Amino acid sequence: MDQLLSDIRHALRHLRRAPLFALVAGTSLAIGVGVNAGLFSAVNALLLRPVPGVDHPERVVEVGRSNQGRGFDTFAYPDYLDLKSEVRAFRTAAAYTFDVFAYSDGGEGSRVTGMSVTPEYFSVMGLTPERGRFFTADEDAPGSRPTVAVVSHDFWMDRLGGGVDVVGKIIRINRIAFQIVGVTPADFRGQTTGVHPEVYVPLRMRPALRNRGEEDFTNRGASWHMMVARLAPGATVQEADTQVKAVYARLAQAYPRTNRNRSGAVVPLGLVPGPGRGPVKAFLSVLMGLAALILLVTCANVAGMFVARASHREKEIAVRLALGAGRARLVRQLLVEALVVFAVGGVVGTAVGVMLVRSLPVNRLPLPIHVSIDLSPQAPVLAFALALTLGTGLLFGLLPAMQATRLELTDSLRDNGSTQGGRAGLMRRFFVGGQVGLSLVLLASAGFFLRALDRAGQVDTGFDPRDGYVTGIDLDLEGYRGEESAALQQRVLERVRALPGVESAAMSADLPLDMSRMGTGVMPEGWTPPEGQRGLGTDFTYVSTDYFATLKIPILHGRAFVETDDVSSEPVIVVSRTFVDQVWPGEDGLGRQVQVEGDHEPWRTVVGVVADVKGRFITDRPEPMMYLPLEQNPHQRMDVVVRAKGGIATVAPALRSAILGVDPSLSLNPVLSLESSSSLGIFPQRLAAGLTTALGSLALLLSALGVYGVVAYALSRRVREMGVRMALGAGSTRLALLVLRNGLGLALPGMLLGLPAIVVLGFVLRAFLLGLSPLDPVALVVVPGTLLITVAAACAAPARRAVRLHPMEALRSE
Amino acid sequence: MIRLRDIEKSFKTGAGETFVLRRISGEVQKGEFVTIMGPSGAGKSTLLSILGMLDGDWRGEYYLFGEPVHAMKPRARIELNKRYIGFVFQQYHLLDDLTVYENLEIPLSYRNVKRKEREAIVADALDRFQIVGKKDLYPSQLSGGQQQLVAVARAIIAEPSMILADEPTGSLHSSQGRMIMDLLKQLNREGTTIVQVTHNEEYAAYGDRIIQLRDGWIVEE
Repeated sequence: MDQLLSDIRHALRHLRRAPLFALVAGTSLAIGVGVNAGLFSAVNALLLRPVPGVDHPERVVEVGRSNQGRGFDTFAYPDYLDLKSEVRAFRTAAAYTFDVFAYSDGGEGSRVTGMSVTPEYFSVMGLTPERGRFFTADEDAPGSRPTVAVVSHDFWMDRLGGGVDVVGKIIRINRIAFQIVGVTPADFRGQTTGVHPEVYVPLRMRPALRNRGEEDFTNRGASWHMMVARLAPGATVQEADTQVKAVYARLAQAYPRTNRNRSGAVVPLGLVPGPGRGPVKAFLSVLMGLAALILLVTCANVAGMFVARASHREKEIAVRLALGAGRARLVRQLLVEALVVFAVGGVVGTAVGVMLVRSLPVNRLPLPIHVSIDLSPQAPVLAFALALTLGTGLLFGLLPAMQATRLELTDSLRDNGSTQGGRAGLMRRFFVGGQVGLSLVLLASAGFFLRALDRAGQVDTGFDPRDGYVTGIDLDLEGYRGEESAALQQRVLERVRALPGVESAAMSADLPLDMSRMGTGVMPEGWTPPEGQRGLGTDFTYVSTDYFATLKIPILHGRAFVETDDVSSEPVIVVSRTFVDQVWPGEDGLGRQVQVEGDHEPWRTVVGVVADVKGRFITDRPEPMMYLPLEQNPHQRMDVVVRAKGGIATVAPALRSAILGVDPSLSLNPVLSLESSSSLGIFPQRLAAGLTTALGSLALLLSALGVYGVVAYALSRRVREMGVRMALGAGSTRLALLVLRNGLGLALPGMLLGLPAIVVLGFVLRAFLLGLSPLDPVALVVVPGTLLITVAAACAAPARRAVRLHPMEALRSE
Repeated sequence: MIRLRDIEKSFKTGAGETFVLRRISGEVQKGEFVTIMGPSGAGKSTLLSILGMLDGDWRGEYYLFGEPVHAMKPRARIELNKRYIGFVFQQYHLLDDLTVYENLEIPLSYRNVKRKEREAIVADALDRFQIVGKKDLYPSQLSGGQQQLVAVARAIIAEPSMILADEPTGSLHSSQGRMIMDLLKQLNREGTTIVQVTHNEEYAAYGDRIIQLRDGWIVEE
């Protein structure tokens, strides 16, 4: 221990005497560790952290429904009841759904995040009420109308003032009065990351809140429930999964019309819900892979610096060996020095990385509800950063330390210069070559994503978001029903269209590129479904008149909806080009009829065909799309979209005031530009492009530093040789080329190894690249070219020094 | 104390083998002061390195206190070095980043001497060499003679049986050189065996006998 402390003391003294070395190495490592710690804090927050506040969260599972073995979807309520009673591996199970509620305390309404839950939900989560009670079995009885609510601790504190009389208080949710019966504990902020439910209501109240009938509790075709369960003592997730599948196999036979091809899956409870976990994991894995590359680049850079430094300290090391130090002792001392640098870099990097990730504007994403992800530093993040720092410190500190102590003592103690120049030089070349190769891969990934982002700007999304603005009204939340709703929507449209500067305005239940889509099955006239398929799967939305004009979606055949497409006229639809191409190839589709799956659905006539628009993401392939006129198909939750001049600062208040002029108590979604709302569709590309560009630039800089360091060092050892060459008649160009060749010789092996890695990377990232070829010339030519130019630039200063050497001084050099 | 038989050292070169030392045999008795002389390239420092076990790549037989160094593994040679040998170099080779005190302490630290004991030994050495006032200075703050004084103090601090001195006065003025040689002679009188390499006839005379080397051979003893 005494010796270790002494080693640490000496290491700190060495670093104080070499502040530039300490600064460059420490900063380099801080970048490498910081990027990894920051990203890992996101991985921890989204994928690894147990759900806070849940009792024994490892015993809680999510249950999802699959279709033909794929997906993790919502359930029909009768299926939930069967699973709950038949799966022995569940101790208890609960059905729930996420909701957005309109909460009003008398003034302008506001949106709150809520959940409709069966009473078992709280016991599945293992919660004890902070105040009052949770729901009872009576409040889940068929036909009951339990107007009771449980609120979150934060809601109680922030919205209700935190008074002790919270239980018994009346709040209005979707204009219905609810009595608060309990408060959830402070440490439970919901089961899903980013979404913190504020109000819980009994699931039995959802029909009343959503203006729906009771049939959702009996119809096996109405799948909108999610399910969680707590495992029975001793039961495993695998057993539960097997039993859920067995129940679904029975249901498929008993109810083939609704349950054919359906099955179930069980996964442990996680902060990212089951359906999203796969894509989030894939995306974060790619990012962590890139972060690991930058760490390797920084470590290679620092290891190269340690090798160079050890060369300068060769005599000191030789003296220590001559004085009786064992090699192991010296390796330990050098390793401690390396670990001190790694530790400083690791601590600074972790702090900055975690801080930067925490400052990411997650809560400013253009979403209708407030999203906040807890990215506060957790023990696993700190443990990860510590392990990373120690692991890389040991690995990349040990190699140079072992190299440094392999000396020919006799020569080292004489003033004969380095005896390990060859081996150390080889090791530095290895590190720099590795750095260049890894940098190439990082730069290429940045190139791929930037090209994809550029392509996203050129991709024909099928609509024009410029000068478009959007907000949303959910009349379910506002207590409007039937004709009252249609009348309000009509009045809203009239007022908005009358605003100065508004070219057109419309409503739609769904907008392009907002990450969501509604889907259904249809039977087109004269179309034979493929074997095993009952109808055509199509996305759909409800739109008002002027929708296609407002979004500038081109009409290819026929017409858009008009005022006369109302309940008194023939049911009509507009479909997309892909819809027509799939079911009526070679035709324009006009006049053909389509029936939506369902017992009483009418045949609807196609009156128009429009261009394809992108659905959820910019990477989506064109899918069949069907538009139904709002006037014939009343819908409560609609986006209001306007095309107007003047910018968001002018349009947003005018739009809000026009809508609230119809009913001041309405709770509106925030007004966003259509460009901002549709930017969600390219969010993954944008994030990846931003990160990889930053990481790639860093790697480029570090590689340039690494090459510069080795070339400059090599030159310092070859000064006398340069003098001889000059004396023999070598011109300055020849000397400069000699230095340049040295630099390029370092970079080329790394680049040659990096090139095949780029092609592999291109194939790995293909899903994100909007059709960009993995053999993209930018990645394969421009990126390596840029790296070569940078390497050449890094050689410029040493080359300049070489040509400015004075021959006589160079010849006298030791 | 030291017995050498047919020690040879050579390098492989393109043209064949170049010998640095040829069939070196001889003995050094305990308490002797031996001087090795010879022109540059004669193999003096190489022989000293072999004696000090800084060089392990040679042929022949070398016994130190009866122990066969030639048959030992590197780790055992390091232990032998630590137990019996102290070095003084021409270029002093003090560690620049350590103070005088720490330079004296380091051989003890490598021999796992406990801290309290180290403090006492270093304090004694500082006193004995009259450099107490310089204990917190760094080598760069000392004159050449002072640095070599510290180097000699460092060489004897672990109480070695033998000091190997490679041109200990080579970088010093004559007065400083004489001071160091007087010091070595005194240590020798106190029982320490000394083997020095020097070009200087005057300093060579401090020794009990002189070994002359030329082209790797012992030409006179």
